[in-house]
Amino acid sequence: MPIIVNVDVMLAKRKMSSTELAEKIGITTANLSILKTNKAKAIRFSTLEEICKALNCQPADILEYVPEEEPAK
Amino acid sequence: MKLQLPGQKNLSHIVEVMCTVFQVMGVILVGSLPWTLNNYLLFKNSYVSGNVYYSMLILLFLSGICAFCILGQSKKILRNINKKDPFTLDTANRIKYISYWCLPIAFAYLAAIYFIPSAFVLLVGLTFLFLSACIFIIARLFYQAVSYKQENDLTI
Repeated sequence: MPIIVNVDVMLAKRKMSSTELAEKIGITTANLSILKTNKAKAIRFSTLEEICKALNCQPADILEYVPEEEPAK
Repeated sequence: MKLQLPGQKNLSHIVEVMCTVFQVMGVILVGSLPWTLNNYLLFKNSYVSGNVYYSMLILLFLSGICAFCILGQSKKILRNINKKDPFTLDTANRIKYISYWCLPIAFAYLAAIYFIPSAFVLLVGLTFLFLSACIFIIARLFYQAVSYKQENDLTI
């Protein structure tokens, strides 16, 4: 998927653990892990809002668009 | 996410047990088919020629085997429902297999009209053909439901 979730980068910047963030935003660590490993198919605005609030950042700090390389013809 | 259907627990458990009972009964019935059919015809006091008798025997034997497999698949689907996890690829595949197992019954009965010219035989054949198509559609619906569930589960 060309959308990369950079939650772990922001967590490192804020010196916060995954468990702490999961508790703050009210999701399970398993779901946070899905988000961090880019296995998530979608993210709710409410979750994004909670993450931004907890990490004191903007959505753009968490989400990044990296175009997929087209296979050579 | 676990699915809980209201009032589902008892009914699906009962039907699962019934599937096992029917499977055992089916094995006994199919195993003793030549004897059972002979006695049934004697009881009904109806004479059938050897040709019709053997086609009835083959027909019932084939139906019995297919019904056994259908019951086996149904039992496993019910087990998934009882585990509160019905929308899985496994369930969708099993529903598809049930639709496939209906086809031999349908074609056997439709072919048997040659030997047993009866409206009942035609009706059973057409019913199973229709049933197979309906179950196949339900299987396709389940595939869609599985993909929706996967997407929902991966929405954080």
